Amino acid sequence: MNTLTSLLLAAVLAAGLAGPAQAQAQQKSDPDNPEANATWQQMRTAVFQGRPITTPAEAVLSLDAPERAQDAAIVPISIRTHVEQRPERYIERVYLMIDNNPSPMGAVFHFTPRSGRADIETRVRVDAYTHVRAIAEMNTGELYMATRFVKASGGCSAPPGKDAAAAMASLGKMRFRVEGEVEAGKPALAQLMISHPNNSGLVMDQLTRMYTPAYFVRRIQVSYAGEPVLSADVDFSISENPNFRFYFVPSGAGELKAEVIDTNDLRFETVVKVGAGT
Amino acid sequence: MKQAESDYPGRSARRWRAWIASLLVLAASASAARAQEALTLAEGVHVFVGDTGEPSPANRGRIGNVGFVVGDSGTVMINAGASYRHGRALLAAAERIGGKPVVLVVITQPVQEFVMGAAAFADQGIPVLAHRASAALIASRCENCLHRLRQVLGEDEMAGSRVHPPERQIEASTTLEAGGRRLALIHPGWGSSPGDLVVHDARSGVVFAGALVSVDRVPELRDSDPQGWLAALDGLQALTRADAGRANTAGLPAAASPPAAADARIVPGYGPPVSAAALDAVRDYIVDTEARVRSLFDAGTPLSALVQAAQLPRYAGWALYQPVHGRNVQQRYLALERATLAE
Repeated sequence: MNTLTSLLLAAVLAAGLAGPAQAQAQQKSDPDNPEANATWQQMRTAVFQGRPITTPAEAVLSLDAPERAQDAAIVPISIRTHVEQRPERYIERVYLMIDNNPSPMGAVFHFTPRSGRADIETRVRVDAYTHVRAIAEMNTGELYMATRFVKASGGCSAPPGKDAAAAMASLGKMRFRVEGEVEAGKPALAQLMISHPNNSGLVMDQLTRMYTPAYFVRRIQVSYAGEPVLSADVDFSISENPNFRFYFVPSGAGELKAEVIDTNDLRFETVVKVGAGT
Repeated sequence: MKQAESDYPGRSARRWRAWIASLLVLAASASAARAQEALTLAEGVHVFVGDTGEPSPANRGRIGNVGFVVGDSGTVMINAGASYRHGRALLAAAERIGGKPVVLVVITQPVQEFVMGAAAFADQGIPVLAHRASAALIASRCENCLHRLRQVLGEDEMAGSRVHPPERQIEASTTLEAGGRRLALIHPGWGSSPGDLVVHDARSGVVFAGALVSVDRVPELRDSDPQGWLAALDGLQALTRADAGRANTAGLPAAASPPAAADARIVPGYGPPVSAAALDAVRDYIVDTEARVRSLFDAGTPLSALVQAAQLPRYAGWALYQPVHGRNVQQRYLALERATLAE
């Protein structure tokens, strides 16, 4: 088990311990006081060992999320960073946390200097009114946090079945593309779309009264010309058809390669050729 | 159009007492009284016009329109209301106004405001009919809606409410003779939802369009197939054109109908009865939304920036624009994304 997996595990365990208190904790999310949440306090100890966390931290990162979600199952989250990824000082990890979700640690993203920028955009499920947190950890160890309060809760959001059947048929299919003009040495934006139900295991089929088994993407690794630019340990808080937008720094011509592993240990791979350097 | 005549009290003291007693019951819940008022579109063709907003304690969840058509021996309801209590009030009012027992309820779409009152009819032995696809959606998701309605409207308002999946199911258009009146049930395909039903009363030419038509209200695209919806609107247009020219005010005193209302042959799911001209606004909304979402998707706009970029000011004055347009836009964007992934 690598460090990051154990971190994630520690976080999940911390949340698990919070179990009986969690319903109460949800009631106690105070939109104006992000610190006053029992789950967060436990996570903070478990994951960050009580180290100081600077917040707000607009000079380092900002978090954009809708105040009221259009759809609780697909809430867009955009994390922007304002630190150049230099070898001597860069953002090494970004933690995405959703306090009141059953598993609050939604994702841990790992960046390198080759990422160019540690920005990340994805979509998450939000179970209840909650704070969402993005915490940046520098390679030098400092922590910075941005928070947003999101109002979302489930409802009659189950769509007609047409798409659900098609979803399994295209399991693991990916779309991978680089947006806009690519210039060597300058961070370029890439988008990875993965066809995957990403079942949380927490949704009951009202017809069969059975829970759809948990089945989700758990790891993503992206490299450019053989060098890692992004990897992520992700959880079922990530919405169906996981979608990630992130940066990498192209240099000359090279391949951008994404590898995706799900909880059944299925591996999916996709490659996009990047013609930079002109 | 005119208000259906209410059961005005007679002179006898007994009737007065009964009337006062029923008035007190009604006064206890203000909009129960409102549910008693129905517009009359033609002889035996009536509609209770509901609120067009979101469910709230103020409107008691009584969103959208419920119609009924009175035949020689019985009455057919079109949709069942938003709660058990609402369903009971609608049943009583329809029987009082029409003077005939309700013999059938037709559900046009599997939306909470149309289905949650169905149990009130079923408990009186009245069959509930829907397209098979609607029945399946009701069974698979309406428990969630009911749970949420209880939170929004309160346990008291939703007392006795339960999900009643329609036991009579059809899969294609059909004609039925119910209560001694011929009604066409038209399934135009997957439009606003996979099991849309349109109810056409041949005698009056009135069409109950359900959620396929809303007036000055943003249509919900959640369950929709937008191309199918546009085709269904064309079908409605053709249907009303075919009926035009026929005597369409049978049984109505001419003076009671405002001039504009004479051709209001379409009962929308939401908003007042309208003529076929009102279909254009719905069509435009769907076309404009599809076009905007497609161009933003093709341009690589991220989901986080989508709703802001997809505002359509022309429709900003419509009911529900704020909550629903953003949902529609996101839902259509994700549908495009799924289609791209499935290629």
